Amino acid sequence: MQAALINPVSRLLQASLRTATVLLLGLAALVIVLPAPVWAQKEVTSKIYRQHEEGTSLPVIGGQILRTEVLTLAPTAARVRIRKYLPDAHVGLKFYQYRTCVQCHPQQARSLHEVRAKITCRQCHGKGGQTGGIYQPSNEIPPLPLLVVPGFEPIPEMDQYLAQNVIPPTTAVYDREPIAGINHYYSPMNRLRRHAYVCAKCHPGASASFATYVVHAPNPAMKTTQKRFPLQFFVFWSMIALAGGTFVVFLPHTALWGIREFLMKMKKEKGESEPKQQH
Amino acid sequence: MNPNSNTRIRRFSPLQRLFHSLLILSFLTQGSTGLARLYIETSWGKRLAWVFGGYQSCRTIHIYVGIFLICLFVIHGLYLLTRINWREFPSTLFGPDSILPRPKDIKDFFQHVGWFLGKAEPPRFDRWGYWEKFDYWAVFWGIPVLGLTGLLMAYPLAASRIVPGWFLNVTLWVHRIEAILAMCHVFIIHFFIAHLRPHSFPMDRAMFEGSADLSATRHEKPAWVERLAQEGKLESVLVPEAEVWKRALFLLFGYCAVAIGVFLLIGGMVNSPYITW
Repeated sequence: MQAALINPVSRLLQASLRTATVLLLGLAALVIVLPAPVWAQKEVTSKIYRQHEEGTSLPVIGGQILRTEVLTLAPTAARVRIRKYLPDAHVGLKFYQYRTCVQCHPQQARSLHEVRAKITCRQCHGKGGQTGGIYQPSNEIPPLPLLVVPGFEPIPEMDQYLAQNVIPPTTAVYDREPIAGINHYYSPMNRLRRHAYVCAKCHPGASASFATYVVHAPNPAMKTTQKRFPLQFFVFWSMIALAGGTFVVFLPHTALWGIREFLMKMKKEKGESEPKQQH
Repeated sequence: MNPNSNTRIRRFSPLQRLFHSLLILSFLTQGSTGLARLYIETSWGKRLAWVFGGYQSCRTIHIYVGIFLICLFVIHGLYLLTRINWREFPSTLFGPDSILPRPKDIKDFFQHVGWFLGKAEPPRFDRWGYWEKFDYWAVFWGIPVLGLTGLLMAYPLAASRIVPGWFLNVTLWVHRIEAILAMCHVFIIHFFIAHLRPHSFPMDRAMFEGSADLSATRHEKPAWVERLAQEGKLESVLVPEAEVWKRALFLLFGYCAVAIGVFLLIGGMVNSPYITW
């Protein structure tokens, strides 16, 4: 009786073991053979660039060391603030190469530059493809070419717009790594030179005032926008109130007018037809 | 009835009709090119942009027609100055022939609504109904707002010397909402009042022909007709009906405008969830 019970159990265990082995081997084969999920986007930082940036970063910033503030109410926010000053804003982030920009910066997904002109994140935030590093005062101001993301086919109707800016995809996206924090002293995105190094690529003659345009403007309808961009929030809701007020008054007004005239017309036609029926 | 008999009352001068026709053409062009750019993420927007030569062409057309519209507005302003009776200024501005709003318009509005509900007698309108004044002043306010914000966005480099760059974020929303308000008002309310309500159906030709049917006007604007009769001016403003081919042309032009407006309205509403606002 006992042996009869053991046999099925041991057979089940052996079958499970075989299945698990096959599955594990298959999974290992897939990991070896298939590319990493987001490698197609080449969001990787090469060691050469990393070492280069460490060598050229300012000692005040502390290279790639993430320092913490002594007093802070929000430790996570403090780390984000400090990253804005680093030559590589993404240093030390786990699984960085498997992520897209928007996964960690969802609010920055709102951008007419991306929607209308198909400009990618790195075309503004990555360093210049021909500079060989973050801007240094000794370098000549280089032209910063825009990129075509490999595999991206511009929509035909947009060709006219894109053709002005697009160059053949000779520069790989990962050449734009590391991405300096927007406040890093030598970053092209630093507000000291953003207008000249980033905006002027497509808007020649851009001024510092021009560069204050909020590319990633928040949704004006959101309550949080009241703090982030109060004028936009209040102007948006004022205009919505104006439009809403107009329609609240005039839509029912127009509908009632139409109904009233229709009823009058029906009554008139009925009044005209009744005497005819009497004849 | 003799087709040459004077059965219509003159309402608009040829120049006023020309202003209105140019406004129709430029407004529909601005609406189409503007929506084509706003909806460029959708296939509807792409097809609309294709009509005008693509995304970039839409922008060029939008800017130049916008500048034309601003010029038209300035010319209209100068024209208005010539129409003011300066000898009786400023009392003439508040008379019954003036299109400036009067307190009576508010009273007329509520009395008219009362009539819709069967609670009051219809108001005795004079030359301009309150809805006509609203339409006129809505355009009068809308063109400067759209024109100014449009110019700021069309020439952002120059604009950022006058205003900070972030102000363009704000002007974008003012321009958008004002344009959507204008289009919805014209394509729903104005078209319904001018074309589809039983009194006007199939079309109120006054703005194209320059004159309105006397019996219909006597019914809708009795105070105006009575005033003209009392002043002995009624006979001088009576005109015959336009020829058949002209009426057919007005109808065709009007309904083309309505068709384009309805197309833009429905396309815009259906595709609105699929674009980045």
